[in-house]
Amino acid sequence: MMRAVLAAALGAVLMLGCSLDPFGFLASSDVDERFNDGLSLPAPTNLSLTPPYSFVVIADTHVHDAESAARVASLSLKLIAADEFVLAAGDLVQNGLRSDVILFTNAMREATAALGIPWFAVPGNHDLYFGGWTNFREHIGRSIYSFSAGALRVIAMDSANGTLGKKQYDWLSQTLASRSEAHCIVFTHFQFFSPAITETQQYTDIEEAAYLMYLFETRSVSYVLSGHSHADVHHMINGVSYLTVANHPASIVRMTVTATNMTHVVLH
Amino acid sequence: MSRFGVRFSRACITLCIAGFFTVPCFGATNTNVSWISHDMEAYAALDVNRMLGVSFDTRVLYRALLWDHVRASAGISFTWMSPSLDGYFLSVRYENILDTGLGAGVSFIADIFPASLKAVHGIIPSLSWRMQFFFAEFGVALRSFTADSAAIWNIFHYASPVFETLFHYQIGCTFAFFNEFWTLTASFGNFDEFYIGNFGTIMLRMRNEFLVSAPWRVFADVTIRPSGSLALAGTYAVIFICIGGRVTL
Repeated sequence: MMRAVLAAALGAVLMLGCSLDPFGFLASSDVDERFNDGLSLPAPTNLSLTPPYSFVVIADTHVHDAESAARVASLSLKLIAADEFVLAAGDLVQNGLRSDVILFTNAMREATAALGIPWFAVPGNHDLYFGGWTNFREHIGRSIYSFSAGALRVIAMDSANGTLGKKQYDWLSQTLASRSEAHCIVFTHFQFFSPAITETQQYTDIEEAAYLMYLFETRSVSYVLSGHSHADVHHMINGVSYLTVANHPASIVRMTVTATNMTHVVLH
Repeated sequence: MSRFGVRFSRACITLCIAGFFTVPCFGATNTNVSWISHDMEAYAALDVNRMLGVSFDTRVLYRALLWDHVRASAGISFTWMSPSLDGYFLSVRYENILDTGLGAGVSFIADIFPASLKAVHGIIPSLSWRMQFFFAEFGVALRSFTADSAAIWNIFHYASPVFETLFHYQIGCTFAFFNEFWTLTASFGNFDEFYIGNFGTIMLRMRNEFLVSAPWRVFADVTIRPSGSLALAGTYAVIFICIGGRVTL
């Protein structure tokens, strides 16, 4: 008994000494809270773009120190003049810490500065750890939004809890129904399907995923872009491309938009 | 899907449903023989999903134990929201190998989403270990996502664009109180009879079952499926509440 107490006490001291906080992984915010918070934050402005143009998608940068931030900044080497914006599909930082979010945003500004193009992001599960939503909201902004980019409607879907929640689902349905652009993409963090037997997290409920896929089919969404699994995976289902982007810098995806269609290429 | 495929799937479903209802009738007339023991349960289920809202299901399950070792079971689920059949399963296991409590078997599950014209079909080979107070099951779920609306009803349709291999697990314990009047079963895992979850789906399930008057039992189940998984917010995605009865035939 005494040994068990001593072992527990020693464990607690070691965890405190190492600044480990196991409860921090469970302290993330709720998707409805983020939806409500987002209403008070400025919405992204529409981009006046004329096809053809391209944009770049990255995912899972997991910034946690200067070195990982430098890898994000090195994205500038891969951007080309036709690129008009960059999308980051979640897990931007490792633990949701304020210092890491600042490192990430500075790195993204550096990466896009030469072209002077905007970038947009959605949160992943890592961005919410340790109360990370506060930092995301302050330094990046809304987690749920949409904007027009010429012939394209871009929808940012917050799946960082593994579910959309009712409010976001209703908003998504309404946004898809009211769009007037020729093309539409959705970008989010969690992928719908598991690429490996050990994949512990993905969009949680397969029935929810099925409903979302039905919605995307009936509303003619061209691409659903996600991250999380650190693997490049592409499924084409009933006319919708479900493209999971591997972690940056292992992969980036360049999407090309023309007046009549959209294509993608995975760059390593 | 070919015409033959449609006919084949309809024939399979018809056979499953016909077998489901005729086997217990056959067995019920033979309750005194030792080669079979079986029971049937039916329940009403309230499915509360954060995104999709509330739905009501009715489910019927039949389980037979043949020669003390071979467990065959089947079940169907009907949703009142569409309304439509929304799932069925077939399962065969060999249990208690050499009196060790170990078992092996295979299940076929069709989880159908009629409103979205999608389904997942799974073949799940697994190993199990069942002792008096403890049970566990581990295996591999081969889950096929079907987006072909003509094929969603066919439990044997696996020609789909997405085929996933998922770790399949469940661990639980059962306690009986008051001379088995009350049986409490608690488990966590990533599946139930009609559902094939992701590896990270941690489904907490609790069943209270009461022996009202032999052979009749009533039970109430509560299942919580949190969103995400370990190291994600514990905000629930689905709460599943069932109330029903079970009769030993």
